[in-house]
Amino acid sequence: MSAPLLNMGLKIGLFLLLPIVALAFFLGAYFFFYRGGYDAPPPLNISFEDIVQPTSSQASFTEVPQIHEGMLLVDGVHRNEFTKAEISSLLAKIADRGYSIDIVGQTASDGRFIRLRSDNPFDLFAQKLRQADSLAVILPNEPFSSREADLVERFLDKGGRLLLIGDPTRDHDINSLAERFGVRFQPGYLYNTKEYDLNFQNIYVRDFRPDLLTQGISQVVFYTTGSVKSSGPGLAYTDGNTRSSVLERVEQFFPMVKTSDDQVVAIGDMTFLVPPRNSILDNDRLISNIADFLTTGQRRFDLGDFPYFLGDDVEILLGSSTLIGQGTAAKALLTGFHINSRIVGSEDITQDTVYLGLYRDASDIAQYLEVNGIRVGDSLLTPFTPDLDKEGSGLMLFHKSPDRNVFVILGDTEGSITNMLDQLESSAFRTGLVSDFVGVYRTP
Amino acid sequence: MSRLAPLGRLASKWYISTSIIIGLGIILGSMVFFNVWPGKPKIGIINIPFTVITDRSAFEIASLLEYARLEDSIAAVVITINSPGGGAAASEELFFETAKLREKKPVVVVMNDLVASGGYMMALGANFIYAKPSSFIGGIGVILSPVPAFIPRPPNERDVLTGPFKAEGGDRRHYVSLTDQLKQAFAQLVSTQRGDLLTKPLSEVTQGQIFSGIEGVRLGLVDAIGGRTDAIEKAASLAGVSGYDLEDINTEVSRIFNQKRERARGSSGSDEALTQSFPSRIKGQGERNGFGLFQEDVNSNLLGTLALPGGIGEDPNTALPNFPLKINGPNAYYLYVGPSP
Repeated sequence: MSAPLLNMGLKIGLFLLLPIVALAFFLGAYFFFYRGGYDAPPPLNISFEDIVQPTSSQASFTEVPQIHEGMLLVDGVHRNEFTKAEISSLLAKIADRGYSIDIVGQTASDGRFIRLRSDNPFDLFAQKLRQADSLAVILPNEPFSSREADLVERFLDKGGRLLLIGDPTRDHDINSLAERFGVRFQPGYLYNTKEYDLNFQNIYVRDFRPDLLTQGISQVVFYTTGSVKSSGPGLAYTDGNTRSSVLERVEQFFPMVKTSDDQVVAIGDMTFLVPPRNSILDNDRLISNIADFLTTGQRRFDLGDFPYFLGDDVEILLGSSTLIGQGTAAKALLTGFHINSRIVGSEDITQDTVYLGLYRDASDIAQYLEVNGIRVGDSLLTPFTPDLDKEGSGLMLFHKSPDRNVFVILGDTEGSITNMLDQLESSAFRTGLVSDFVGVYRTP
Repeated sequence: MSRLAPLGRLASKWYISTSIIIGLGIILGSMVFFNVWPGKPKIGIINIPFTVITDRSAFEIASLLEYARLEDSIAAVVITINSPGGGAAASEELFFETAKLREKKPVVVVMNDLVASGGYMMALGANFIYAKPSSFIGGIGVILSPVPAFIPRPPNERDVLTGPFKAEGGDRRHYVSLTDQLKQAFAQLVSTQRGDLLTKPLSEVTQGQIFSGIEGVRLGLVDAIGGRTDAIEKAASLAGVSGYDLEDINTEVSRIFNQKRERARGSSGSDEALTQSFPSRIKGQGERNGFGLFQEDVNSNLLGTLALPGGIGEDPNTALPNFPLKINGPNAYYLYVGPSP
C-alpha cells in the first residue's frame, strides 16, 4: 500500500474513531447506570364482580296464639334506651295473646325515654307493677335502686315473670336489676368471623336447651349480642367459632338464659326484635315464644296489690243498710281504678266481691274469716296479731279462691269503714298489713 | 499561522490526535448520555407525612404519583407513608394510581409510624413494602357511617319520593350488606396483591387488626423490615439501575407548580388565572402542617379561600340551601381510628 493511501486510511480511521468512542462511552455509561430491565408485573386483574353477599332467608311463621288475661308492664322510667317502635314486633304478639300493655315512662319526640317528670317515680313504678302479670325491662340507662329491685323481687315471688334485655351497642345499667336474680350481662359482644349474617357481629345460634322459649327453633340470628351468665342453665349456646370481644379464650357463650325458677329470661340483644331482623330465620318464632313466656305466668296477688286482684266487674255487698254512704264511696274508689262495680243486696258466688260490714255483721262472712283464722268475738283475733280491742279498729281481708276474689272490710263503726276507704284511696293501707292477706287498722 | 505550526505538528503525531479524538468522543458520548438521553437514572422519593386520605389529599398524592410515572428520568419510586387511611374511594384511587405507576417503574413503599386501612391499601399497589419494626400496619376493613336508624323515618307529606329507598338509599340491613361487600373487595385486593405471601388465611388478617411491622412481615402483609435507604436500594435493584441520583418529587412538583403559578400571575396579575388552570390543585391544600404540593413560598391561605368557578367541590348542604331533606348519607371509610405508635 502506498504511503498516501495509508495516510488517507489513518485519517478516515481517526475520523471514525470519534463516533465510535462516543458510542462506546455512551454504551458503557448506559450499561453502568442501567444494568438490567424492569420486569413489570402484569396489569391489575381483580374480579370484583365475583363479590356477592349471601343473605339469610326470611322465614314465614304463622301461629294461632292462646288468649290469656293479664297485663305486661314495660319499664320506661329508667331512661331506657329503646323506642316503642323498635319492640313493636314483641308488643304485637303480646297483644295477640289478649294481654294489655302498659309502657310506663315519658318519651321525647324521637320516641326515646327521658327522665320521668314525676315527684316520685318509684311510687309510679310500684303502682304499675302491682297491676302487672309480667314485666319487661329493656336497656335501662339509669340503675335500679335497691328499693326498686326489692319491688321486682317481690313481684317475682308472687309469680310474676320478668324479661330482661340488654344490648352491647347501647348504654344500659341492666345489671343493677339482673344481679338480684343471679343474672349478669357480660361486657363486650359476641362475634363470629367465619359464619355470619351480613356482618361478623350478627351471629347464628343453633344450639338450644329444650324449653318453652326454644320450642320449634332451629336457628336464630342475634345482631350484636352480649353474653349473659346465670345461675340457671343457658337457653341458647354459641358454637366454637363465636368469640367474645373481651375474652381471649374461646368458650361457649349464652346469648339467652333463663333462671332456674323459670321466672326470669335474659337476652343479650335487643335489635333482633327490630324489623326486618325479627323475621330472619327463626327469630319470629323466638319472639312468639318470648310472648308466650310473658303471657302464661301465674301471677299471685295479695292485699297490698289492691285493687288489681279484682276483676273488671265487681259487686259491692253491704253488711248493713247504714253503710250505703260507704258503699257509694267504695264504688267511686273502684271507678277511679277503671273497675266497674255495683252495690248488691245478696252475694253472687261467681263474682268478685267487696264486702263492707261492721263487726256485728261478721257472721255473714264467717266462712271467709274462719278460713283465714280470723275470729270476731269480744275482741278481734288474727293469726298474726294478739287479741285486739275492737273499739276504734278495722280489718281488711283479701280472700282468694280459685274462681273469685273477695275483699272484706270490717270496722267497729261506719266511721272506721270510711277511714279505711280513705286509706285505700291514699295507699296508706299498706302500713297496716300484718300478712299478705290481712290488714289491721286503728281507726280514730 | 506559524504560531500554530507546532500544534499542527503535534497533532500530526497519531498518538496525540488519537487521544484528542478519544477525549472528544467521551465528551460527545457523555453529552448525549447525560443531556439528551437517557440521562443519569433517578430514584424518585415521595414523602407522605401523616395524612388522612381525603379527596383533596388523594388528589395531591395522585399528582405526585402521576409526575413520577410520566417523568422518564425517574427509574423507580420510593414512597414513605404515614397514614391511617381515610375515605374509601380516595384510598382506592391511590391504590389504582400506585398500581398504575408500578406497571411502568418499580415502586417501593416504606411504612413509617402508621400505615393502616386505606393507607395500607395504597401500599398494596407497590412492588415491595418495607415496614419499621414498630410500625403499626394493617387495619384492613371498612367503616360505614352514619347508616340509617333501625326504624326508617316516616315519609313527609311535603316531599314526594319515587321509591321506598329514594331518601336513604336502603334500609340499615342493606347498608350492612353493602359494608360487607366493601370489606370483601378490600380482602380481594389483599388476596390478589399478597395472596401467595400470606402465611395465615385471608379471613384472619382482614379482621381489622393492627399488627406491628415485625408481625406484618411474619404474616406476609409486608415484605421486609427496613428503612428509606433499604427502600432506595431495593427500588434501584428492581429497576436495574446504579449510580442513580435521588429526586424529591414533592419538591419538584411544588417547584413546577410555583413556576406555573408565577407565570399565570405575571400574565394576569392575580391568582384568579391560576385558579382556572389549577382548580383542583388549589383546592388540594395540604391537610396538615403544610403537607402537599405547595410549600412555604405559596400563599396557601389566599389560594385556599378563592371561590372556584362552577362551584366544583362545593358542600352539598351549601350548594342546595333550600333542599328540605338533610343531606347526610353514609360514607365509607378505610380508616383506622385506634391508638397510634
